[in-house]
Amino acid sequence: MPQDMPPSGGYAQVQYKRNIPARGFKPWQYMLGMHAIMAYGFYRYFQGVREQRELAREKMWSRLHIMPLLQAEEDRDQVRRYYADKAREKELLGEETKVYNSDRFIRPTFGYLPANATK
Amino acid sequence: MGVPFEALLPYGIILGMFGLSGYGISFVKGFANDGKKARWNRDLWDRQMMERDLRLTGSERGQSSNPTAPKGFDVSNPWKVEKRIF
Amino acid sequence: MRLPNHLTPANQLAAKETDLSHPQTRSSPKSCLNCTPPPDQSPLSRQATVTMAQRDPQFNQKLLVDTTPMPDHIPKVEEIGTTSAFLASASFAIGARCQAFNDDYMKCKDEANGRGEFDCLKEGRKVTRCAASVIKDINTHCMQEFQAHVDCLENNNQTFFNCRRPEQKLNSCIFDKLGLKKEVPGTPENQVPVWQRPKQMYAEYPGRQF
Repeated sequence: MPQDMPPSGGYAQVQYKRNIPARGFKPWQYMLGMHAIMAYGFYRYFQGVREQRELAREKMWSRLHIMPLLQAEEDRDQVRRYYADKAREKELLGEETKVYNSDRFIRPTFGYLPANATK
Repeated sequence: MGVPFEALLPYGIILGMFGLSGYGISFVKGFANDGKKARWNRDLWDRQMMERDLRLTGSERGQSSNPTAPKGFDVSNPWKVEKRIF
Repeated sequence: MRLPNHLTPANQLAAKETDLSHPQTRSSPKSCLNCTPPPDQSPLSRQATVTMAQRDPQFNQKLLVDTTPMPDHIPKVEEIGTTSAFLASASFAIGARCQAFNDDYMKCKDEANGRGEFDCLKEGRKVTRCAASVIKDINTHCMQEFQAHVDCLENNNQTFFNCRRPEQKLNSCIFDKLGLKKEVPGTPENQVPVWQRPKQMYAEYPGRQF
């Protein structure tokens, strides 16, 4: 009975190795490039953060320098209105009243509003 | 073969309308800001300073380097009031 | 007065506890400003859960202007009529000359125990006079630079970093004529101060500013 036998001289070599040339850079080069880009990005980011911090400091100090004069202006206005309210009260009630049991300056929460208050 | 002009009419309308609204917005903004660039990202400080500018110059964007306030400025500070809720 | 429209979820929880004995009187969280409260609801327990933070927003378009002048027993001072951009532009000059007055005033307010509005009027007048003198000096000596810087600030949302070129000129003018130097406390010493850097990272114009 005939059997399948290997061909005379044996089978041909099976081509299992690939011989494709590797494209591009070496993997470690890609890694290095990515890290370089990231490092530059972080460098710029922290530079920006530092500059923002300085800009914020500058802005806040520019406000801090003019805040006392605005506050003084506002305080004078509050005191003026406080005395005006006092005088009005005295005129209406005939006596000085004291709403709060405190010496402190308290900005009034409730007040008398004339009918034509809107400017 | 040339494109018939009727095909271009809608584009003309679209362009014209967008142009009109864009110009309108820029005109209104310029009018509201005295011809200056509009303020943005204003915080409470900026807003109250603009109210102060309004009291001093009559315009929210008006500027004045006058060291002394005009007459009546010291009594013009308004209190914002609302109806009592309790 | 009861405020039924303050039934936020947190309040509903609180209301649930107080209303356990009267389940039939639970009001729905509908907005009703003028309706009368149910008779057997305790208004005190409801009010205790209403804080100012939870109140309804409402318009405050009314302005109350009081034109009564200052009483005579308080010395008068001329108010400062300088507006926001000019104040921002001159702020570091004001800070350089008036630091002592400013600190004195704020310290007085801090230590006045809530009476600073009355007790620190004198210090406040000093602050105002000092700042007015600075503004006056800048107006007489550096008006052109002052105006240029303010014009720039006004067209750039009053941000300093877009206006370094006019600011540089103004600063040098103020330093030459008035001897006031711009300084920001707390700036790190090993770097160029941010207002003297020619390149500003956040400026609209990306190149050298001056």
